Amino acid sequence: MFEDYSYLALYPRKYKKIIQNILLFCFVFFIFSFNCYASDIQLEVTVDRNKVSLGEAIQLNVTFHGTQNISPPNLDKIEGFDSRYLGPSTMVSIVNGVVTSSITHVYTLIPLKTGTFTIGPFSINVQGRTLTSKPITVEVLSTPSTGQRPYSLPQTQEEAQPKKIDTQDLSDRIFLILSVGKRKPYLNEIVPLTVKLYVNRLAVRDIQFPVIETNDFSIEKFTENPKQYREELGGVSYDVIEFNTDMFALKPGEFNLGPAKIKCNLVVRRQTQRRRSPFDDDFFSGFFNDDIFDDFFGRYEIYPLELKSAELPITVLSLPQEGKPDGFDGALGDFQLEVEATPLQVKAGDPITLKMIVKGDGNFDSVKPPRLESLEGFKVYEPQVKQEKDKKIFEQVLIPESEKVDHIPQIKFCFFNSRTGQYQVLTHNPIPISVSRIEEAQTKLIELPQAQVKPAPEELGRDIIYLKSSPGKFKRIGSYLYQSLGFWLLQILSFIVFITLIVIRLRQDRLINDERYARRLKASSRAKKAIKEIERLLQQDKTEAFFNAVFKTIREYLADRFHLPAGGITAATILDIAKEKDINNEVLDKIKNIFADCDMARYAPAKFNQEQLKIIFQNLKEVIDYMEKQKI
Amino acid sequence: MKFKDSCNIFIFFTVFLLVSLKTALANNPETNAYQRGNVYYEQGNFDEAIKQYNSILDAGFENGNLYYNLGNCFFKKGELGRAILNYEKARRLIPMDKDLESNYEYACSLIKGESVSSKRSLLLRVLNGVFDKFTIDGLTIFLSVLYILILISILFGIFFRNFKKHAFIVAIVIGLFFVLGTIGLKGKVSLLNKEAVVIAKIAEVRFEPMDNATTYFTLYEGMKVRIIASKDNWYKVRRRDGKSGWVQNDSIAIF
Repeated sequence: MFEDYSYLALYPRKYKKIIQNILLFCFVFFIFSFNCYASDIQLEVTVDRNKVSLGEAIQLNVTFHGTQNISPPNLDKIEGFDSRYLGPSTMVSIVNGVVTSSITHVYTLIPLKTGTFTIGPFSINVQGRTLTSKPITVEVLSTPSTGQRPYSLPQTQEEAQPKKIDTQDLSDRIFLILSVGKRKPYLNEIVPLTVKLYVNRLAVRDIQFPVIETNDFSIEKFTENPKQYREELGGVSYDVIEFNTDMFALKPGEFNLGPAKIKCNLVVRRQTQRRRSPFDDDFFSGFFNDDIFDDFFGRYEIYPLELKSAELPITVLSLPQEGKPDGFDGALGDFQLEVEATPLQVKAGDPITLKMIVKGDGNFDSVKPPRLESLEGFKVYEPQVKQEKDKKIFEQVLIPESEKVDHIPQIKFCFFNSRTGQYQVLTHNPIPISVSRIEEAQTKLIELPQAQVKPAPEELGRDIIYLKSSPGKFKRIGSYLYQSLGFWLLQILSFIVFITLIVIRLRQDRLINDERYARRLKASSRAKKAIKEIERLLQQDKTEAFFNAVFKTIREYLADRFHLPAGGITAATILDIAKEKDINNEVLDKIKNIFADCDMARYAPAKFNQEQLKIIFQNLKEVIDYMEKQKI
Repeated sequence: MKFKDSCNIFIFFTVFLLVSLKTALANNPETNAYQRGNVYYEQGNFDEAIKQYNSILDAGFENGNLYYNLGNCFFKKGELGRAILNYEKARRLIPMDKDLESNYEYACSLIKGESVSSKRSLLLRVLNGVFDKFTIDGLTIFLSVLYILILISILFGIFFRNFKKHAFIVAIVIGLFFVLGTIGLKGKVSLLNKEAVVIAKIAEVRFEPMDNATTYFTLYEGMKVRIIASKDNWYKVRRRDGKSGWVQNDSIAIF
């Protein structure tokens, strides 16, 4: 952690936590600084770049690791440069509980003439011990060096589109190195592959995993956590990101591996009018390259960058034919073999699980199951294979077919040892077993095909089922159908319909079964029709027809009412019935008069005038009305 | 105006009204609150999701899906009692929902303490299981259908004398179901606001409604009880096994 006081002063609230961390580190530093001895102190001298032009400055860092309690050393006059002390920078880090501290005294070196100069070695006396640094070579050019501003920055802020930067210009400040563990590997031999990204005083982000296009090698995926550390290279201190993986060759011959390519984004500062401070350089921006600074200042721009490493010539050796053992299946590496069988006492037909573990270093993809010397007397199933990081496990089911089998045969595993360059054969001695006789029926049961062996019950996870996305239909809280008036009206209505239908049905039944009732009901309707007809005849003054209709109507009506044959209705029968039914005398007289008038009209119809006809008609109506009302 | 034109205008207005009604229903505040609740749930903000769902209840509306989602929120918050409470409420409205059944069973399987078995007879338990599959409205409609079927059967017997005997037997059988259903409906209605779920981690059930009374048994979060009486801040509750006692009212939630 570097203490950038200029930022902290500007944004004290935002960086309260940073201040707390700094204070914490200072405290830790204070506690642990008492434990530092000169024997633990190391000196490192680096420059920010080793190419510089006249008129430009380079930064010289004199770092003491293991202490923070050293005052700036008096450097001897450096040939070709004028030096100026800028100030100290301290760092404390705690990794896995181990505390390390350092102090860096920063100097500015201004070249005085062109040429190649050697800075150092410096010898500095610390607590009675002389520490000596390595010499650093710096080339001073007359033209502006590529290291000062090697990339073409947009000169105006209007150029918002990011430009592709020429990586050649940055080749000494950001580059890739591709390396492999062995330049002459055997076919299928696992070889470690490393891609290192070196960055010097540049802010880089969005670094993608390396890509290596090749058809000659099989390259595993890069591990997800690349290492990060600092490394000094040619006197220049670099931040290094190291990507590691393994690879093996697919065919023998001479090939070029690579180039490895990495895509990343370079963060560079726009040209601004802000005055530069001693700490305001790319060195610090490399560590404070968060988006937050973009938001605050809007001074940074991002440029996509694709870095390429150099190609790496690799010679892939084919495996020697000489000394190749029988049973060699192509396994390559340095392996050990472990074998165990369970159970050792079985009945014929019972399965024995033979577990063969091949472990060690090497290409496990090339490892095939170890071979049994003989399979006689056994029924053998295909082994189940489980591959782990440093071992491959083969579980093979063997079923002794008879009680005569007394051992599992010798097991052999051959491989080519890439370290020694020789073939090796691992053998495991026969394993004695005890097989007893069983009933035939049991044997049949055991010899079921493997596919029918009941698998272990699957363990299922359990949790609640997800939300219901659709709200469905909402209803009023506490309102139920049985409380609604409409529901009960519907029930009542259906009951009314039910009762009505029953009444209709009963009436129909009565009409069919009760003739008296049926005639009585019919009498009324027929009489109503007849009265209309009689009225029409009266209006048309058809006297004869009128009396015929009146006679017919009164006779049929009374016959229907009293359930008598129509022909049997006379004035005399009416009188008899009248006594039974208690008919009003006035009505009875009207009936008698109607019958008498009708009789008379047959012989002398001209005797009746219109007025008399009306009276007869009125009497007829009154008689029928009376009968209907009295329910006689 | 021709008759055909009148018909067209009538159809147009009918469709317009239906579309308007559907749009209004789709954009009503309850639906919006429900959808917001779902979004908060997806974001893991269960408190806010509960708030949105409760706003619908505050407005006086409910449905099974709402209680189901509320139950899920409380479950995710680790409040097993309230989760089961809401699942119980949902079961009254969507008892046949498979997701609900699964979640309810899972939540109940997490209840601490020994499970208490019911002392009811097998017949009662079977009937209870059957009626649990009905909502109150569902059972009401079912009874209404049975009632109409009884009337139809009687009419059939009257109008078709050849089938009179059969029709009346059918009517009597349906009538028995009707009576049984009516008893079930009455039972379900009588349980409204008479059941409760323990929402406290542990609730001591005492012999008397007093703090210093002897503890009879302990209820654990999520257990269901029947309310049989109340006094001040105490409820008299009965467990499935018939044991009853007094519990403080803030330990349980009635539904």
